[in-house]
Amino acid sequence: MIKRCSSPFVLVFYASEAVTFQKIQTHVNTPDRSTGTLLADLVDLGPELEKDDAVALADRQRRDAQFSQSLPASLGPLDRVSAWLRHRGDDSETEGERVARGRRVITLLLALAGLLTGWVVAMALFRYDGTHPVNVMWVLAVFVGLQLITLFLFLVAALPQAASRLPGLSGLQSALVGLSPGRIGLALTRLLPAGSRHALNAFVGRSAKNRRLFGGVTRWIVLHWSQVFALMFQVGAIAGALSLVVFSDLAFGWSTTLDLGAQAVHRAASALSLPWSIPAPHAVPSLDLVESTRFFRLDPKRAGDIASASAENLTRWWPFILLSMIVYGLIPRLLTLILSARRVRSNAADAIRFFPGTDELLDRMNGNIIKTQAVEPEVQMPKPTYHTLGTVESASASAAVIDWSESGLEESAIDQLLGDTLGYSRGMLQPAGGARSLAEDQSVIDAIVTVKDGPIVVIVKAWETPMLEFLDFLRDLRRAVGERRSIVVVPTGVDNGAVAPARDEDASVWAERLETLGDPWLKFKAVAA
Amino acid sequence: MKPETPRFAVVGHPNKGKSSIVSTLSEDDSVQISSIPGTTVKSREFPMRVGDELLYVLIDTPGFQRARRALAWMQERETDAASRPGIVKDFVLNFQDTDEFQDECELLAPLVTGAGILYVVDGSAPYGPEYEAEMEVLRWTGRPSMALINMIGDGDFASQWQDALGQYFRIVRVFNALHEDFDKRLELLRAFGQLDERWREPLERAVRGLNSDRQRRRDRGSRYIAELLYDILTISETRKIGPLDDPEDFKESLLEKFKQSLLNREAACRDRIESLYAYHKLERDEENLELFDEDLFSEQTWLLWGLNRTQLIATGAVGGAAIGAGIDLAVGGADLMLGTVIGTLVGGASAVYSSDKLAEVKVLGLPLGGNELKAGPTKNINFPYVLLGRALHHHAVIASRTHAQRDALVIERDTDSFTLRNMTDDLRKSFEKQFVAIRRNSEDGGAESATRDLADLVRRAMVEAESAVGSTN
Repeated sequence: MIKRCSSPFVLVFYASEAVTFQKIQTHVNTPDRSTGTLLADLVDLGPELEKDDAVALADRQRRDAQFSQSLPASLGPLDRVSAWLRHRGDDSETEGERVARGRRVITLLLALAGLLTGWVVAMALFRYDGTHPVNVMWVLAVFVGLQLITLFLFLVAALPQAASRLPGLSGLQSALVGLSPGRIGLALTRLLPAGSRHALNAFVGRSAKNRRLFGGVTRWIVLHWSQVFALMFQVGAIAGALSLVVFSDLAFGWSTTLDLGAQAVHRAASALSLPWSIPAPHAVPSLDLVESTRFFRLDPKRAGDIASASAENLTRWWPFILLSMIVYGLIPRLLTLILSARRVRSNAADAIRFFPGTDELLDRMNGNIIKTQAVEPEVQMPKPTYHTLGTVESASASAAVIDWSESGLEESAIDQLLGDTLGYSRGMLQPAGGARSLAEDQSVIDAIVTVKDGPIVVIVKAWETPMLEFLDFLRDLRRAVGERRSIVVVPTGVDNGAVAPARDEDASVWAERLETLGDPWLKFKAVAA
Repeated sequence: MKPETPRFAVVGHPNKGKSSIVSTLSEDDSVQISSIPGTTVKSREFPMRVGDELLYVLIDTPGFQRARRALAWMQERETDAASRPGIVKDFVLNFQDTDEFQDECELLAPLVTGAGILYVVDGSAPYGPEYEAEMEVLRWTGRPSMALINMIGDGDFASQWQDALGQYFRIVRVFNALHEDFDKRLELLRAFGQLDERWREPLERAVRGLNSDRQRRRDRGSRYIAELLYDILTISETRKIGPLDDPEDFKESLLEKFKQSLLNREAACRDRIESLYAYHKLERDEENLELFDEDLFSEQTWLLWGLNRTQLIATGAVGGAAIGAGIDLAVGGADLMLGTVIGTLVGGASAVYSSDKLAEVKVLGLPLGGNELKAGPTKNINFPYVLLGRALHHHAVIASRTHAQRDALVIERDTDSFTLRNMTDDLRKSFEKQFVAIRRNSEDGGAESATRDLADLVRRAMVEAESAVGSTN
C-alpha cells in the first residue's frame, strides 16, 4: 500500500493549507490528504495508467468497478483516483512520493534560509553600540517597505490569466516568476538525496514538456517557495528584534537626509499605525516622540538633542516597529502563503482531474455510466481439420444433378453450367433442400442411387451459407452412392435464371466448409467469371 | 403492467448480419464479424446498464444449422397450436447437451426463457425457401418478434423479403447495421418497445441514457481536442548546445523531434476520442500532419534557475527600475521619474551584456547556464485551424461510424477547408482570440481556464462539423 506521510515540519508550514483545504475539498474524508499527496498522485498517475494499458479493457472495467464498490459513495473524483493509486501500489516509495519528499525538504531549506536571513538582517539593523540609535527609517524600509514592494510584485505575478491579457503583463509575470526567490528552490535540488533529486528533476523536465498539465503546478510551487522564504524571513526578523528588545537595551531614533520634518514623519507613522490605533494606542508614535528622537549625524549642536532625549522616549518606538513588521510584513505574507498553497493544490488537482486517462479511469470506477458491451469474452470457434478436396477431371460424362434449395437456374442454364464449367452433360435433375422435407431429400438420394455411373453434381447458391444441414445431406448421399464416386459441389451466382459467376469470397467459404468433411471423392468447382 | 427487463435474442441464418447488428447496437467492436459461417458458437449477452440498473439485454446467437430437422422433430410431437411453445422448450431440454442441435439449442434457449425475437436477414441477397423452416420454428416459440432486414451488400431485395417476412412477423424493418446513424439506432430501440408493453418503459429510459451519454461524449471530445490545440500551440523541443557547437548541426534532428512530438500528440488525441466512442481496435488511414514553411528555430541562453535570455533582460530591467525608483523617491520626484527610466534601461542593458557571461560561470564545476536551440512552438496562424479541422473531422467520422464497420478508418484530406467552410465569422474570431491568448501565455499557468474556454468553442464548431459530415455521407 502506498502511504502518504507528512513530517512535523510540513504540519507547521502547511497549517495554513489545512485551513483552506477544508474549504476546497469538503468531501475529502481521508485524514492524510495533503498537497504532497496530490503531487505524489499526479506524478504516479501517468506511469500507473500507462502500465494499466496492457490489461484488457474488459478486465480493467470489471476490476475497477469492483474496487470502486469498496469505496464510500460520497468520495469525490480526486479521492477515487488517489484510492485507486494506493490500491495498486506496494510498500515501496513511489516516484511521486520522492517528488513530494524532495519538495518538502526544499521547503524546509528555504524556510531555514529565510529564518536565518531575517534574523541576521534584524541583528544588523537593530544593532546598537551606544553611539548611534537604531534608525527607524532603515528598519521600516527593510521590514515594511521592501516587504510591501515584493508583496506587490508577487500579486502581479499571481494575477490570473484573464488579467494577463493586458499588454506586456504576461511577459512581466513570467519575469517575476523567474525573479522569485522560490527559483532558488530548483537550484537546491542538487542538495537532495539521489532518489528525490532525480524524481524532482524528472518532474520539472516533464513540466517543461507539458505546460498545460504541469505548468501551473510548477509555477505555483516556485511562488509558494518564495512565500515560505519571505514569511520565514519576517518571522526571523521579528524573533531577532524581539530578542534584542527583551535581552538588550535598544535606543531608537530616526534620521534622514531628505527634507522631511517631524510633522511629516509623524503623519506617516500615524497612518501606518491606523490598524492598531484603537486596540494598541501606546504603539502609535506621538509627535513629541517623533520630534525628540530625530538625530543629526553631522550637526554636533543638534546631536545634543538626541542625547538629551529621555531614555524612555528612545525605547518607545519598539511597539510601533514590531507591530509594523507584523501587520505589514507577517500577516500579508501569511495570506499570500495560504493563497499560493491553495493554488499549488488546485493546480495539482486540475492536472490530476484532466490527466489523459483520468476520465476513462473514473468512468470505469463510476457506477453512473452507460455500458452496452458484452461482459464475457467471445467463445472462440475450435479450428476444424481441413482436408484437400479432389480436383474435377474434365472428361465428358453424364452427370446426375441436384439443384439444392432452388437455385433459380433454368434447365438450359444448368446445362450450360455443366458444359462450360465441368464439361459434363446433364443426366437426371433432382431438386432438394429448401422448403422440402427431409423425407423428400431422402427420396432424391434414393433416385440418384439408381443411376450407377457418372459424377453427381450438386448446384448450390454461392451467396448462401453452407449449413450443417447441407453437409448432412452430402454425408447421406455419400453413404448411399458409396466411395469413389465423384460428388461435385458447384456454387454459382444466379442472374434472372441464368448462370452468373460466384464471388470469390463466397466460393472460398464453400470450399473451406467442404474441406472439413474429409471426403476424398468430394470435389469443388465454383462458377468463375 | 409491471415493467420487466427486456431481453432480445438476435437470431437467423448463419452469416446474415446478426453479429453486425449486435455490434452496432451494443457499440462493441469485440464482436467477431466474419464471412465464415459459424463464427458465433455460443450465445453472448450484451447487457445495457445505466449505472447499476439493467435496462435491456441483447443476445447474439449462433445461426440455425438444422432448422428443417428441428422442425420435423417438433412437428412429430405437435398435438395442437397451444402445445407448440412447450414442444420448443422440450426440444431445448432434450438436445442441449448433444452435438446434433447445438446451435439451435443455443439460440432457442433465451427464447424459451422469455426473450423477444429479433430475426435478421440479409436484404441484399434474394429470399430463398430454406428460410421457411427456421421462421416456422421461431413462430412456434410464441415469443414477440420483429424482423430486421439488414442491408449487408450492394443488392436490394428488401421488398421481396418484406413480402415473405410479413407472413411470419408482425413488425418488419429495414436496418443497415453498417451505416445507420445514432438517431436511427435509438429509433430501432424504441421500436423494440412495441413488441411488449412491459418493455416500453425500460427501453425509453435506455434511449434517454444513450442520448445523455452522447452529449457526454461530445463534451469530452471537445475537451480532448481543446487540450490538443493548447498543446500544439505551446510545445517546443529544446537542445542544449556547447559554445563551440554549430547550431545548424542539430537543426534537422531537433525539427524531426518536434514534428514527432506534434504527431504523437495528435495520435494520442485520436486514440482518446476513439476510446471515448468505444472503439478499441480501429486502424486509421490518415495522412500525417504537415508543418507549414516557417522558421521554427530560435537560439537562447538558458540559466540554471530556468530564466531564458528574455526573462533575464526583463528581470534586469525590473531590478534597474526598482533602484531608479529609489532615487526618484530620494529626490522627491524632482527628476521627473528619470531615475526609473534610466534604471530600467541600464538594468536591461546590463542583463543583455551579462547573460552570456553569466552562462559561462561555473559553480561547483557545474555551469550556471549555456546556449540552447529551440524548435517551436509554431507561430503559423493557419496551423491550429488545420489541426482543428482534422480533429473535428475525425470526431465527426467516429461519432457517425458504427461498430459493425471493420474496415480501416479513412480520414480524407482537405479538412482545413472543411473547418473554415463551416465556421461562422463570430466563431472564427473567438478561436483566433483564444489562440493568441494561449500563445502569449504559453510560459505560464492558467492553462485550465484557457482549455475550458477553448473546449466551449470546439463544442460549437463540432456541431457544425458533424452536420457537415452527415450531409456529405
